Amino acid sequence: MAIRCNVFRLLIVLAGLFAQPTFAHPASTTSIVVSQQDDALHFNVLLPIEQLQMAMPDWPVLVRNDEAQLNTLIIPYLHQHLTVSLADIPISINIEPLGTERCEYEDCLRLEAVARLPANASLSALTVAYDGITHRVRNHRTLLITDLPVENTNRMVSGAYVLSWSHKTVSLLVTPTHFQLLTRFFQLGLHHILEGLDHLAFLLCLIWSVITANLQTIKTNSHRSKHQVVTQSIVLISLFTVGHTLSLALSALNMLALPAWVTEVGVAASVLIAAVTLAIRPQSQNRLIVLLFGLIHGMAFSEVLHALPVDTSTRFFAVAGFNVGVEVFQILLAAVTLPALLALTNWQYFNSCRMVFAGLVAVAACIWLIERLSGTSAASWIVCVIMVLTGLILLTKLRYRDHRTETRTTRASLKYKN
Amino acid sequence: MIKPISLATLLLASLMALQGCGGDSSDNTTTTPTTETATDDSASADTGDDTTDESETGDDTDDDTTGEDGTEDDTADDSSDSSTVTASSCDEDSTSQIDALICATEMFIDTLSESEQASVLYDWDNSNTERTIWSNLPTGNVQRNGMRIGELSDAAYSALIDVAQILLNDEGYEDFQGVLAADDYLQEQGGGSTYSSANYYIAIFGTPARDESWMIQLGGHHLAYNVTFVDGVGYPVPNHLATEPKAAFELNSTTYAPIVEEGDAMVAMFDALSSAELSEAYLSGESYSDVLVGPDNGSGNYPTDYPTGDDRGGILVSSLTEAQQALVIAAMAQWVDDYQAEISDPLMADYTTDEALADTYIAWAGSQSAGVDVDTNGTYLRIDGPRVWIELACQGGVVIRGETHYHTIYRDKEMDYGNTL
Repeated sequence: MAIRCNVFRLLIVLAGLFAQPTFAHPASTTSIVVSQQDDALHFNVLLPIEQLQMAMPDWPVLVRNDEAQLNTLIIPYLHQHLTVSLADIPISINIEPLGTERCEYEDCLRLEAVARLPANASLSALTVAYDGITHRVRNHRTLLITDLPVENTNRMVSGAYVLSWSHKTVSLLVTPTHFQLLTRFFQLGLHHILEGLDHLAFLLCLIWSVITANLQTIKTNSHRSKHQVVTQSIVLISLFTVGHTLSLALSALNMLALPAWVTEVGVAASVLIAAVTLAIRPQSQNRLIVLLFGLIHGMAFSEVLHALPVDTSTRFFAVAGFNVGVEVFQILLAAVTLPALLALTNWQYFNSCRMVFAGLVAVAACIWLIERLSGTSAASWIVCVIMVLTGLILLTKLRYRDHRTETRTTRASLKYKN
Repeated sequence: MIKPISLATLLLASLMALQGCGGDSSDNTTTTPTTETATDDSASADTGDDTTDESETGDDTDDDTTGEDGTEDDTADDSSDSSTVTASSCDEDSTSQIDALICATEMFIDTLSESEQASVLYDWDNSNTERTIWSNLPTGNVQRNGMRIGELSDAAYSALIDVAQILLNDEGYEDFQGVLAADDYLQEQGGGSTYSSANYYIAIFGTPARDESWMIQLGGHHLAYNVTFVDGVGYPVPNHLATEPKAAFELNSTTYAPIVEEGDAMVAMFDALSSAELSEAYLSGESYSDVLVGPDNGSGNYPTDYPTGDDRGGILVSSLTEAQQALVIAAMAQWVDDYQAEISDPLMADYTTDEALADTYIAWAGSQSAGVDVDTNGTYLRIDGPRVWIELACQGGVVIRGETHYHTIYRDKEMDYGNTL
């Protein structure tokens, strides 16, 4: 409603500016109406000829509907002075003349420029730069009228964004379609978890824990136990997904907010706990804890989604796309790592590999934890490595002692039986 | 007969109303150019014009709101009460010009009926958008704040004139009269009924008081007085003055020349420059079809289009001789000194310190071959100081074709609207 009201207000101003031959003054404004039609931005440009002539004093006198002038002067001029770019990369524009019309006081040229948006333009700020006429006629103003969200609304007057010689650019937020939202945020979710080593490490620890917890049964009854492992893994991963979906949705609806550093510390702590659990008591992966960790990771995901669309329906599609992306990657990860780890269960170094992996993840988690708590990067990680390595050595020694004690007990028992 | 544009504007305004877009303009009760009434006579009488109403009879778009009956009924009692107290008593009773102005403004408000006060008076709080609504265009094109002076009762109009006389000094008041008379002259020349000395508007923001922030906004076509008072200090900026025709004209046996002195003073400033200095003052590669920092159009914000740094073209005033500098100061005074001394003197003092002049440029644009010729369309003259900003642009005539007319603006880069936006 607000935008429509502003457009109406603007129309009244424009009616005054353009529609009154006896009252209006010569310094007419340029108007550019910007609209989005699917994947294209349309710029409907109304260019006052007298002001244009003043801006280009070396041009011949402009004549109405002169095709040669349109093709050799006007269209190249508009190409030169109207640019649309996405992250500093220009988007090509196609310009068509729509004719000359009377703007009451003076003749105006109407042209339409169409910029075809790239697929990744959704939710990105597009920069529209225009300095037609104002590059020379300093008092000239261009009124850019659009229903698209505009950044920096300080220069909005009656629903129009005012461009001048010193303010030549405007950033527009392009509204994506629901499908564009889904695909873009699906990719974002996929990339985010792929690039998020902490999330990856956590998931691998979960999967490895499930296998280790069922190691004995896997060795005895391979088919049934493997099925059990897959089921348990899916359950745990799904719990993790439920957790992060819930917190992500609550964050997206602004119903849940924690400082970024708290969630980041929470993620690092969850990874450390998962690594230690994998090393010491893999059979004790608690489903509630996994759910809790999912909640924490979900809040961390929400930090990435600060560019979410404003309205609820598009926000829903964005969050859904992101979550599906995360989930798809998790399934892919499980699909690759589960068979590989199952195949390695009979390998004599399987447990050693587990310990090394858990140790490495624990070291990384400690580094993340200290970094995120202290805000410093490399100051403490060496100390941390030493601490964790010492801990691992102690753990290994303890387990070795337990193993030796167990062996001795078994031997004694056998001896006793014999 | 209603002009097509008026019809279009009305139609759009109706659509806005249907859209529920009353919003900011809901306080404004008048929407279109109107018929001349008995009160219009009083408006034009002060400018020496007592004949304009005859030519206005065809324009009857709001006869039910501005007829004699309506205004006289509402205000007759008030005016009879207040007519015994005049602005001169404010002058006598007040210890300062600002106090006299406050007194006169209060008296003007007292002459208004309750409904008229509702049109004229605006709350100070959250009024940034409204306070920045003013224009160089005729009121048929851009709706102003407040009440059309043509609709004021005789007493209210008289009280308003008292306010103007206290606010402005003699020269400023002459300019005020001249700009209003020029509109009647344009109507006489066939410009249409939108041009009329009755089509100027008065609005008052806040409560006039020494320790309050308040503002007088008086304007219409080619005129915008935006005088803000903060703790008893007045800032008459932004101030737009313009006139068509720019030369002296005669209306009802009275000769007016509202902005001739301003134009002459600006030209004298450049005429005193050597050809090398004139060349240095020229804004190469720039053209101006109007002033650069014109109406704020209800933006609610300060303008941001002043050139800064290397974009500030022109010649430094401090590099000129004393005689040349005196001409620059004289040109500034044509705008700044239009107000009562309590308002103007501190500003002139600030604008003309050695430090300020060392950062003040004079510049011009237009046809280099024609030189500083105000009869050439596109000639543009400017004073650009650290605070003061004065522009004069020469445009082709709109009603009186074949000759140029002036558009001017006086702003203070730091104290527009009293720095209260």
